[in-house]
Amino acid sequence: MKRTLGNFSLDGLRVYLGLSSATAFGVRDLVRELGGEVVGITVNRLDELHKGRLEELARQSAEMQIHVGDGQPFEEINIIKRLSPDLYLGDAAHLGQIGRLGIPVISLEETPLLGYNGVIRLAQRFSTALQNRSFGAALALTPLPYHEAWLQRSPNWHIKKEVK
Amino acid sequence: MAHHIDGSRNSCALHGALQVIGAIEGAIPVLHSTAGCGAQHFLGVNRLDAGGETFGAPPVSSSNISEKHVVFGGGSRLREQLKNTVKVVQADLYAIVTGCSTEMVGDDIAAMAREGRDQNWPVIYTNTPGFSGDVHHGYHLAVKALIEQLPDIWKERDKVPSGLVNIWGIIPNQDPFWRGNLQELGRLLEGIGLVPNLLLGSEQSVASWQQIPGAVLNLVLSHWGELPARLLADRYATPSITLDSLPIGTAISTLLRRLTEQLKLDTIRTEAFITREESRLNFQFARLADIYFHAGFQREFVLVGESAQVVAIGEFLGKSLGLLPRTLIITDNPPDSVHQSLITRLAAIVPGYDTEVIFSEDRTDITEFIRASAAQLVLGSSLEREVSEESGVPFFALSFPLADRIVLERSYAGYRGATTLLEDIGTAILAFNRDCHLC
Repeated sequence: MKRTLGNFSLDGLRVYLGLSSATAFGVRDLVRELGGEVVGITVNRLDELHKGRLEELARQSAEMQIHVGDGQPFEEINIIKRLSPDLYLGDAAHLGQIGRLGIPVISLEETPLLGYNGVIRLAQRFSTALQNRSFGAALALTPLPYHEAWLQRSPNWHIKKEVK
Repeated sequence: MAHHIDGSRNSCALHGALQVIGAIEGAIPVLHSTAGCGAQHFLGVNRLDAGGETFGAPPVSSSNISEKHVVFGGGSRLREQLKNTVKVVQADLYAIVTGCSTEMVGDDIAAMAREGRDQNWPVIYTNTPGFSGDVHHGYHLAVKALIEQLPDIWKERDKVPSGLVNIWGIIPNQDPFWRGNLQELGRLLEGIGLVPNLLLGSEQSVASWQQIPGAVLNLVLSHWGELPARLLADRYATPSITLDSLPIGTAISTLLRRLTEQLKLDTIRTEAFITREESRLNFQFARLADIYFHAGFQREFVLVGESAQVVAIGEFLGKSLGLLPRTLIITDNPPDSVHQSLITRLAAIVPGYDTEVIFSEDRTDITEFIRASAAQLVLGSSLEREVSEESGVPFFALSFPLADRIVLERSYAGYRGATTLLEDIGTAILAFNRDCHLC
């Protein structure tokens, strides 16, 4: 695996993950192992099972954004636009919207991640996505379906409104 | 000793000339050669060019010379053939083309054409033996004959619409998408207020060729179009714009703006046209995005084809679609003088990425280059299908020969051609993913 990866590294790259809770934490470890920094995570849900990983996260990077919301792309876009990561990894159905932010996107929906081959495959996808961003630039010409005002607001803004 | 060419995709000069004549409505070739030449064109080219047979059957009018004519000369056989053809086949123009045997014998083709013209038959001729060059040379010979000889047949010139632009460098059938590409280019030129003189394809007749001298510009869309532009600059002092290819997608806007500036067209109209076309294409990109990401479209690819195709498709995939051009193989043998500029241009498609540019028409070599590339997508001719399947990567056929597709009016040029290319390459990737599950 080391031979195939060569000197591939995510050094200095800020990565956002939008994955199911089952894979998000493992992929975060992998991204860090490859030298990248995970600046935010969107997961569909969290429960008791994830307590240990969350405590670990809180110790390692307390300021990291964790967003819990199943199928809430408007919130996620709001957060990602704010964080402006270098790379997005996800398996959600709204990757097409995230692409319009001009950020390289990698879908893990059909990319098997297990084992050494999974790492090699993923590293190849990283490398391809980072080397050519022209599709993202073309996508960025299509506006997102949200009000600019929403993107300026806190992603929790609408929830506070409802509670009141 | 020179190396033989395995599985050549460049047939002979005679075939190139036949393809030009066959692409002009109302023009028919009269072939002066052995019987095999026409049959080979039918079996080796027409059957492999995606359903684009012009005459509907192999028997192009042919003098079918035999030993006797090689020994004693075949001029009289051609005279007879021409006379009978004019009586049997309805046409506006009869173009004599020749093969290797009659040229080695030295039959006086010009005299036979002159005899025909003396009887007021619209006859031109061109000497097109295969030993003089390949299919691209045949394109040169045929357009040269048309440019030089038609004015002798029709002396008076019709009134030509203003803003007429002649199109050069797209070789019928050698680019399987020639017909649709010309139509899309015509649509784009009309969109900015010009009158396209496509010369080849649907509704392009001998009358289109008679209008050539009155054009305001010659638009050259591959290296192969430089010769006619040069001839016309000498004869009629027509200026020209020369490109390596007919661009796909937003890259065509550069050409439209350049034409607008050079021909002093309405800038506002051009910009409005470009905006409308580009927003539609961008909308298609946005629609494609989800499937692009989850099916993993972004990957390294190999592209095998004529230089104009490799430039246009390579740049579109690299500069608009985010793919990585690993190995680009140019098969049309452009002259050495243009190699370096092609390499420089193609190697710069994705800055910082190492693209290999190769010039080869040899199937064995090309197969080896594809194996060595380890690319995850192969775009080429039907000759590359086998190595793609062996390598376990998706394959899509888009250059000549196309033995397993039908192409009638499909276009991979301009804005609409960009959408079509996206549809086709995307479909090939999805079909591959479906068939191979987790591979």
